Amino acid sequence: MILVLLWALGVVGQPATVGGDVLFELAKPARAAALAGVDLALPSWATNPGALGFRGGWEIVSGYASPFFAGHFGHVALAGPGLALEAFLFYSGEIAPGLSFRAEGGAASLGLSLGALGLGVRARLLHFGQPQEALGAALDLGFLWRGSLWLGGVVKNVGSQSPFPGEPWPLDLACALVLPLRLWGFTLYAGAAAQDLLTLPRYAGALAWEAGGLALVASAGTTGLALGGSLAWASFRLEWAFLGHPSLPLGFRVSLALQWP
Amino acid sequence: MKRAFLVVFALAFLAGAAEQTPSETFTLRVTGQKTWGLRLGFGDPALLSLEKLEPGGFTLTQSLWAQIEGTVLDFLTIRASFNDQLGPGFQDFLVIVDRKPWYAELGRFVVGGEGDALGVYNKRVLGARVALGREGVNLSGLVARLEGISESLTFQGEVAQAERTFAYEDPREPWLPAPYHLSLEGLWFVELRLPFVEGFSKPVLRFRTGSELQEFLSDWGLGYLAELVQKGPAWDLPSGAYLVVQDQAYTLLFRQEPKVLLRNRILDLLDGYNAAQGLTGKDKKTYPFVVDSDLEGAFLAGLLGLTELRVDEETYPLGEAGRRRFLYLGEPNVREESLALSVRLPGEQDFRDINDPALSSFSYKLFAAEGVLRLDFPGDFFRPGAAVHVRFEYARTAGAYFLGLAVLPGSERVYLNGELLARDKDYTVDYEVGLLTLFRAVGPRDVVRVDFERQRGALGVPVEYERYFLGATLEIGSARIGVYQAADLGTPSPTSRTMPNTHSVLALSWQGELGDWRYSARLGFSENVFPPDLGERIPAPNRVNAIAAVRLAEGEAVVFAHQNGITVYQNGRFANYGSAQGLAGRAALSLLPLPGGLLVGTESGLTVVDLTEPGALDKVRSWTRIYASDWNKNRTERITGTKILALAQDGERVYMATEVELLAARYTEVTQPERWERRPLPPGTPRALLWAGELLLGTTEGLFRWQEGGWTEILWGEVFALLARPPELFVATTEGIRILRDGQGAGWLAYGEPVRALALWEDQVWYVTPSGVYREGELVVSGNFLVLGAAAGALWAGPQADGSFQMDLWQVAPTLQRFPQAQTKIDGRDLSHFSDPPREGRVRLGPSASLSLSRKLGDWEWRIGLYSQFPGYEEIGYASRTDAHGLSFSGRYAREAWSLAVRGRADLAELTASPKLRLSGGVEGAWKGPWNFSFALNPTLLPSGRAPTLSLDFGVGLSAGGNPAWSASLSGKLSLPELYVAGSFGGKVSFTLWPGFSLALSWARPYRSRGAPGTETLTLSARLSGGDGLAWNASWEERLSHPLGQPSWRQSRTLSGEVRLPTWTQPWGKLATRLVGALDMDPAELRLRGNLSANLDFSPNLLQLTFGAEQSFRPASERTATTLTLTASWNSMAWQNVRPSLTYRHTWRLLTHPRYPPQVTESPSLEAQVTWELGGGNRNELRLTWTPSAGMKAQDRLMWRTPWGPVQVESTLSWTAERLTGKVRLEGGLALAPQWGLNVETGLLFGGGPLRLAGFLGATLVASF
Repeated sequence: MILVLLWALGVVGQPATVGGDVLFELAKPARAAALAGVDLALPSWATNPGALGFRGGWEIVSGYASPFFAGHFGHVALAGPGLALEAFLFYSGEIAPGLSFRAEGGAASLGLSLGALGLGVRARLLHFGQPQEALGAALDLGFLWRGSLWLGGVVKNVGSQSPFPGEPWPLDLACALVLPLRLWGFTLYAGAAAQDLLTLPRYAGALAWEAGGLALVASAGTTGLALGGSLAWASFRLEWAFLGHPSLPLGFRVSLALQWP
Repeated sequence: MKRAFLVVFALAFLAGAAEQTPSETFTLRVTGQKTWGLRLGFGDPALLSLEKLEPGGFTLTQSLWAQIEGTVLDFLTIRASFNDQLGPGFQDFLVIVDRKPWYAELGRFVVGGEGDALGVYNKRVLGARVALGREGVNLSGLVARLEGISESLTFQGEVAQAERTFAYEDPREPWLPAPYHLSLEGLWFVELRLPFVEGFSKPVLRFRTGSELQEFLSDWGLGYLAELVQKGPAWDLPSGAYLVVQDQAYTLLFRQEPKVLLRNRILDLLDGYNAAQGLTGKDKKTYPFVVDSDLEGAFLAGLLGLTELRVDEETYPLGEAGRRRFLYLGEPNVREESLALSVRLPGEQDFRDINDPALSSFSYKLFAAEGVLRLDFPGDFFRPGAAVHVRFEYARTAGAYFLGLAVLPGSERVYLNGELLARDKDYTVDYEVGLLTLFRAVGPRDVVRVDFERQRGALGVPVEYERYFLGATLEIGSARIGVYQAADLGTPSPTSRTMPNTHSVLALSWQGELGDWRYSARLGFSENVFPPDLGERIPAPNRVNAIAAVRLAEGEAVVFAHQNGITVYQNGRFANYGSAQGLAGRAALSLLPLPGGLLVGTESGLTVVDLTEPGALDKVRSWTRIYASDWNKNRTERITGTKILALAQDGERVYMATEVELLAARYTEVTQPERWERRPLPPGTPRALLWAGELLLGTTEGLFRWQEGGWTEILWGEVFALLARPPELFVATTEGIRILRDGQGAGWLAYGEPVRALALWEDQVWYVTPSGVYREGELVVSGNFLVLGAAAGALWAGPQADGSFQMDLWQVAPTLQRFPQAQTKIDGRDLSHFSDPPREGRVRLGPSASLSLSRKLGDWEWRIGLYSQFPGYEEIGYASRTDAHGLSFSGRYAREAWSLAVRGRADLAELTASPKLRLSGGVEGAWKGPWNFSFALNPTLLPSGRAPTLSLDFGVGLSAGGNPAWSASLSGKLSLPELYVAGSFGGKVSFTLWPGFSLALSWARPYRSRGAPGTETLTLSARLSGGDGLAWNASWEERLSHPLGQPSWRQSRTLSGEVRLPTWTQPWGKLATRLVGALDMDPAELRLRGNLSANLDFSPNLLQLTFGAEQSFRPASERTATTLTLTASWNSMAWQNVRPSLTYRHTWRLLTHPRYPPQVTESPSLEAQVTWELGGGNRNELRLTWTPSAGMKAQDRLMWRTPWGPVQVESTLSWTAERLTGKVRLEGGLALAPQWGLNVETGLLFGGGPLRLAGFLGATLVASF
């Protein structure tokens, strides 16, 4: 496991991918963003619809970001046992006279669990309103195996229609492996992930430490270093992430979840 | 591997921490608020835009702030502060593990404690650090990502220093002309025939309308603007675009270049034309010229001749404006005595001081207030190569220091004369705007230094590498050893301009006592690999890739394609065009002239230039860029190539060879890539493409022929160039020139050397080999040439730049002629391809050592220091480094009445280059008795160099308290062997004749053995105060000053006074009055001002009346300004629950001048307010305001508490510019559940003339925790 982890971490210097579905990446809750894809093998419905079958309760997650002060991005999602619905809105403001970017998107995911195996499907829809009208859609499949090792994967764009002809959403593959270690009163997750294997591969390793309602997360990989965490109390869960990038300034995300019952 | 280290390190740490038995204790406190808002607008768009809404459009908003503080599992402390409305720099998160012997931090923290000993100061980082301490041994380590780039700014008191060099060439790119504000030609200027009177004189630029202008615009394709120009030929010169100096006459200087003003005017006219005609999208008229092109230059020069400046009804043709006289220093309020001017004559390398005897015919004058220098230099000075260098100081705003944007919060260290200041006590920083405000008083000679970190890649600008900071420290007793490294992570890409920097520091320090001596010692060593000033990567040499002839409307021209664009030669002039002008990529790889056009193949797309119009290359509309993303629009068959490596045409079709495929298109469809035909490539990378009755392609693998839908190999081996001279085909290969006839080998034209290029000139084959250009076997010119091309009646050769990036173009036939880089203005560097420099010579390493000893001997405290720092030694985070070594001692003796201090030091600088010794010392003493006496002598000897120099700073002061009190001082500096003495002496006497009356006289006179000595000042002041019930005071200050050497004294005075009448108490109330007046008399301005205020308190009413008057006169411009201000206000507390108030203000300003009609401006305003307390915490506020410009506005706000929550109704009604607008907004808060609330709002907006309506609805859900 450690060898896999070191191998993943040692691969540096490759550029971070910015795919056509980058807005869906921005809509991830903060803690999932800090895990750099390793959450594919964790019960994180936001990344892997295959995790939905393992959910026990309901939650609403939302967040806002102004990436590099270049616009406004807000997202909200509802997730429950076997079902998740997400929506987001990006608006750049007026960049130049008469020029602005506006996009709305959403996703609906369904999942079920068959013993230790979870399977799921997600449909994504993206609509550009400005500067020109365009519509894109994609279908993803995901699975999560929760044995002594957790293994998760998503086949992205099994079927897709990109909004712009020159910017396709090609078939892609992402997978992750996590080793959960239950120690003295807390749980440690060590994992590695490989994303966009068929286009611009990205690799990362991550550690997540959980005790009670507190989780601390660190990841490192070809897209940089990230630190984050989450804190759950009463019916709330606050998540945050500092996202380093090899050639861009530090990014930051924070989101809040309301959980019940 | 560093990242791997970080995570494994964190894993080890967590496992270590887990060895402790944690309890399930959580004492975390979370506070914060989350909101979700939804707003919907409907109705008139203009009204809705006031609420930032669009009709029918939802606006969704969210916000979240949270603070976390507390402990977890007994040993974890968490502190976090998040706000999603602020940038990453304002978010904090830190986890602290404190369980002895462990201490660790994870998150965002400042590295600063290590700074003094380890050369690391307070850097803000994101990462982790761990410390383990046991029995006097402490080990700590850290791994973090650096967020900022270190910067340091130094300010001297309220003075800042600046330097300017004025020349003809841009100092960074000498082949380009200097920008306007740094050009030695200086500012354009116009001498005004009438005095310029501020407030009256309004400079206006005006086109000379008439048939000449109309024809001119038509000639340049802008005839459609003629009507607009005719309607509005004049426009105000913006206030920032000019300044006026008063010399013998008033002179108006153009701070903004006139051609820029004209360009902006044409752009404004185009906007006006588009708006008037309703033109949008592709129909919009656009500026037809490439900015800064020769064609635009010619247009604007012509327009300049048709433009005039008008000031005070006087007209000045812009074409007659002058230059070569005024240089703008860029800062106002220049300190005259600080100005140092030096001159570089044309053809010389070095600057000479302006006082050099060779420059006796050169003189200048400074306009200090405006920051302008007038040159009176000989006319033949103004030639290329000449330059003027100016160094000066200027006054800046006290207390405020602008650090620039993106300063990392908490990263600064502020020093005042070396003393570290404390944030919020001594200073504050507004990080969002980068403004530092000092709370400490700063004198003129005080030095403020600010070290801080600026966000890497601020404002989204990419940085080339991610930077990490890691290291460890081991402390054993009082000894400490540390090793730290700041390193860029990543591999340079071909376009990276700098190498990754790795800076390591090793430091060892210890301290203790040796007998009666206390000592502290430090040893350091640093290695800096590719530091920023040595880390530049080596640009590839520029090279000419293709040469072609094109037919322009003006005649035939030669086009050179190179790595930085294309260069066009026509009529003896070269002009350069790059991606800013219209090329699809930086490097131009191939050229293909077409009838009426030119194709340019670049590294990232194709450019089509329409050459049918005159001046086509300088017109924006002539250029069409086609990129790879355009190629695949509406195509089913994808094109994957991006570089256009070679071009050819067969008279009907164009062929383009990319790195992946061959593309073919008809002439008429070349700008329609969806219609291009795609063909495969034969093996190898395309090098040459030729149509010779059939399509031939030379690649790195051979020569191929397109035949029956496929490629057939003709020759094997690398092909560089192809040339057809029917029936022969010449093929340039690595072995020479192969001749083919009918596809069969027919011998060699040249053999034994690679041939790079071929050309046919006067029926002879010319070619290029690594040794030069040949004409059928005969060497014509030697050099590293790459291409040949026949154009404009000549044969041209294009080289590759040499090692010093020199790249001249050559005409090789019919005559041999070289065109140097200074003429072609082609940059010899390829600025998109860089290679790694060798490590040798780009690594700085060196040691540093210091030892400090101190002890007490009776009443004396002695200190001895020894230090040595080599230039290779650099502390992480500091940009400066020194080569300095020395020995110092100091002793201080202090008793009750007197004190004495002695010190001395020997410093050796630049030991490794040219050693310079500096010996300095000092004796300072003070005695306090009936009189106070102090003295200081600080000699400095510089024995190195040709002539050793000695300087002595000295000062003596004598003072006495009491009445009268007096003081006298003499200070200055003496230097030898060239005797130079400068300083000042003066004194002050103050005497209180009786309580309430005091006199003071002060005098200061500078002295200087050479140069401008300065200004002598004499100030006499008196202050008289008195009164019991009637309180009054009066003061008088008389100031005399004159520059030494000028006998005439400048006299100015201020008389001021204040009278407070006794409060007049009557049964109906009280009246308190106050009168203040002042007279300022200065040669530049005479000003009289007065203010009368009266407070009438007839309880429960209060009436305030204030009347102010001010009159000023400026003798130079004869302008008189009179200002009257009247303010009346009434407040009443007559009613228990109703508080009315009324305020009326009126200001009149009158400007008069003998030549102009008087100007009167009035600004009245009225404000009435009534507040009702309605009981139960409910209240209503009504406010009415009126001003002539903003009109009338009524605003009412009702706040009402209901059982469900507070409700607020806000109504606004405005009457402005004869239009009525209004808004009614209802907002209510509802408590839904503990921690949950809902705010709902609705509003109605309306506007008159014609009637418009809009409304909005909104709701915000609030979760508080």
